Amino acid sequence: GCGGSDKKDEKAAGSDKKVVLKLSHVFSPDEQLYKSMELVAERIKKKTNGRVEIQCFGQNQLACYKDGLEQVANGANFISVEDPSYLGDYVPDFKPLVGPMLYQSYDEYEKMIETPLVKDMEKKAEEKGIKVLALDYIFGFRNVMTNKVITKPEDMKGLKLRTPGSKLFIDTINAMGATATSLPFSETLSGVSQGVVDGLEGSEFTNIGTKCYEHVKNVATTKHFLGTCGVYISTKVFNSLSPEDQKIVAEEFAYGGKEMTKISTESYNKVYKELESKGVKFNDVNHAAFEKATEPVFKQMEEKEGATPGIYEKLKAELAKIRAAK
Amino acid sequence: MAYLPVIIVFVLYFSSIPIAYALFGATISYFTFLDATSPAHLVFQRIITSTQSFPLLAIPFFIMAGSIMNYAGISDKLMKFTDVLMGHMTGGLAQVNVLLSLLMGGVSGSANADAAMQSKMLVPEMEKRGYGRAFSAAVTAASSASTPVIPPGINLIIYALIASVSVTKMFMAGYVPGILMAVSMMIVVAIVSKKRGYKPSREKAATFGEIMTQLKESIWALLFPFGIIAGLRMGMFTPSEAGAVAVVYCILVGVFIYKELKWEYAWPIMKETIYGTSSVVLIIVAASFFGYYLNWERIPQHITSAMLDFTRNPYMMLMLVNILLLILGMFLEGGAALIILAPLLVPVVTKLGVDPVHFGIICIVNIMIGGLTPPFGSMMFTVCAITETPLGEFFKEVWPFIVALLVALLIVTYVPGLVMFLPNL
Amino acid sequence: MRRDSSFLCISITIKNGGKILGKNLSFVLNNLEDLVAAFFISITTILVVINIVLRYVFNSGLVWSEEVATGCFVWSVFIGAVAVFKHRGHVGVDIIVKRMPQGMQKAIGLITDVILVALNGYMSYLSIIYISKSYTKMTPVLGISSVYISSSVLIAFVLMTMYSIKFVWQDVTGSGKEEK
Ligand code: NA
Ligand code: NA
Repeated sequence: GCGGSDKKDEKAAGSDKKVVLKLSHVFSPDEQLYKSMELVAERIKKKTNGRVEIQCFGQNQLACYKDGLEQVANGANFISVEDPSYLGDYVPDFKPLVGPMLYQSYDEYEKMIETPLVKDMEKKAEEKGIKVLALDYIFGFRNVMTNKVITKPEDMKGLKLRTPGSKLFIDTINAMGATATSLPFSETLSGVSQGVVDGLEGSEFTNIGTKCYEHVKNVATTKHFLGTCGVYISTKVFNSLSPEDQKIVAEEFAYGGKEMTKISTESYNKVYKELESKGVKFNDVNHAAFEKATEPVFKQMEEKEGATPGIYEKLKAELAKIRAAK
Repeated sequence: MAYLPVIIVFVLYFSSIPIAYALFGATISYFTFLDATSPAHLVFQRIITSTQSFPLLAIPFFIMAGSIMNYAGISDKLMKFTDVLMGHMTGGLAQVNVLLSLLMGGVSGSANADAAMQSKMLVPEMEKRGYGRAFSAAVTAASSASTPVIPPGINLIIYALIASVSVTKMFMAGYVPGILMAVSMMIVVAIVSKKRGYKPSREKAATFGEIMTQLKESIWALLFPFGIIAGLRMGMFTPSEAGAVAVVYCILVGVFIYKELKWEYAWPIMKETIYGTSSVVLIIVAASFFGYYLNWERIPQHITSAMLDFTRNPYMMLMLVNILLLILGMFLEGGAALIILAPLLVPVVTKLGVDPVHFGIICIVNIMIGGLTPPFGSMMFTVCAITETPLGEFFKEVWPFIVALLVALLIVTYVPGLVMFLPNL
Repeated sequence: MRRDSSFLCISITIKNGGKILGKNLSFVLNNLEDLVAAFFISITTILVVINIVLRYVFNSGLVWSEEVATGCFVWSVFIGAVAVFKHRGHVGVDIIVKRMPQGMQKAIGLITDVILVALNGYMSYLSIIYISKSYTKMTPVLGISSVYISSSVLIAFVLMTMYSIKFVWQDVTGSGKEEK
């Protein structure tokens, strides 16, 4: 990445030069994240009297995933909205932060990202040119959907599960005991209905959207991943805003994240009831057993993917504190 | 200033710089000189991301499959088959020419390849039997317009990728319009042949037995597109994988059934695949890079709202878009026109409730007609160059076919059910 | 329209190309780009076929196959683009230029070739910058440096810069006219 760390660029301060920022994500207009981003952009424009205009581009019209963050890290007038694991290319510790089987509730994650441990990671990202504006545009947990009732890793033996084609997902599902089969998202339903796979992993929103519930009737609430997006802007670009505008931008993106998490919770409850009415059964799992099974995924991150040795233990220690404080 | 790169593209294009480089040049100068808020070197991100895409693999695979089929003697067998079917009619060889292009659609998927092949194979034969050279050239060029509409046409795949619609649906949607185009041209052939007294190519109609014998020989090629569609429909493989399966199928048929595929053809087949793939993918990549600039400046949104301000009637809009495409199709190379215009026009028509699959077929038929007209019709150039027909004489013979194709285009445009009933099955 | 550049460049597909593959050095040198591109597209094809077979026969698949297949495709496309460029085979429109007087045609030909040198050279320069900033970026499945893929673009533009310099040289000296 490129530097531009603490350059306090006060040039723009006080001037009412208009800044146009392009915000890019992969979601479509009927999804909550799209709506949330439009809302935040509107609020920022109003509060800065039009000094900061954020143009939102959904559905990968500009650059997404690694490409979006690369734009940010290279100092483009660009805001990238992606899963925090993509920050792992710049600060590897972000991978374990959203690693498997860590969180049991949205609240635990919200508290985790306020800890000094994560704030320190954000600072490192800032030094690499990426200012983190939010990490908690949460849309839900990912669970395992099959016809077999799954409560422990042994139950997953021999099951083929559809995953996205990313290393983290493949490693995690394999570590949980199943065999990961990466299919394109568009092939999910046909894969499930024709038995190419025995089930899939994903959120209940995916389940209802793809109609996979017609073929797989059990959801094991493994909560193996928390689906969430962060918002990232170039440090250089952010610092070029006036302190007043910086504050507005940061506050509004934080506000949008909290709002979205609230909305996601509500719509999740609706989807949950709808799935139950379609005959889908939900069951709890032995979380501790799956936690143990997926430990090697974190070990791999520490040993091979540049994450700080011991970061997993630190994250767990923070989690223990959060849980104790309840 | 926001529109300057569009002007640069046209200036470079008409000064004979290849279209891909015109697009690269315009976009790169935009991010270097006009808007430096995104560093210019990030263009490479766009170039690599848009190339490293699994769905794009359908392009080399189907080009390779088509090329193998040709070296395996498919064209020859298909021609004999069309001859037993149509040869006894007035203007028999001209009818064979039309039907052969339709059937070749299932193999080659490229209008220019088809036009080039039949210019060499059929036009000399037609001349020998008393057809005028210009008329023969016109039939050959016009009928090749139906080839890309029949699956697995490369333009169908390209459109599906660009408009994010299902490749399978695009394939299914092509059959009826392709047949409609062929029928409309056969009517023209019949009228002209009767007036000029063009003879049949065979004495009398083939017997049922003869037809069956030829059918048995050609069946592997005729079944090919249906096999692909069946595999896609049953979810056995993705469109790209279907392309790879097609390659294997064609090799097996060429080696074990027709026994005409030899080792020495491997190199020319490879060359055709590489050259075909690289030139078309480079344009797609360059257009996606140019599209990045267009999105960055929100130009598609501006065009969409401007066009919607003009009319919100879908029938009016389709007429407008058809005229626009016909005019631009005269100036832009077929595939390039599709690649550049589809992303701009699809959002407009879908807002008015037009199915993007239906619209894709309209675009392709339209652009194929542009390939027959001056000043830049690519099939026109291909055929006239190979058969050494002067452009003026060619145009005198081709216009009735253009009228027939325009009628077919109108039907395809305004009777969506005709296009959509197969994909919606 | 440059004539050999029918849009898909599928040259006349009748069996006229079945020349015996000459295995001598000059063949390899004259067709180096073609050979490299052919090698990569073959790998792509074989990988996709193998993965289908594995899926249907052995009920499994290679997780890295898609990434390697598309990576090889990138190499094939860009090295193939050099091969097409070398023969001036990319689609362009010269019908307007052709109507102009001879001197004018020559001048425009020279100008466009100079533009191609500048464009390809600048693209080469930018790709060096891009690669120097992105080589730490890992591929999603194999986790190897993205430079294994992105360097294909650099090599392609450097080669095309060299060929366009050759075109300019031919324009100036009037040599190699008939290289259609
Ligand atoms: Na024909
Ligand atoms: Na297209």
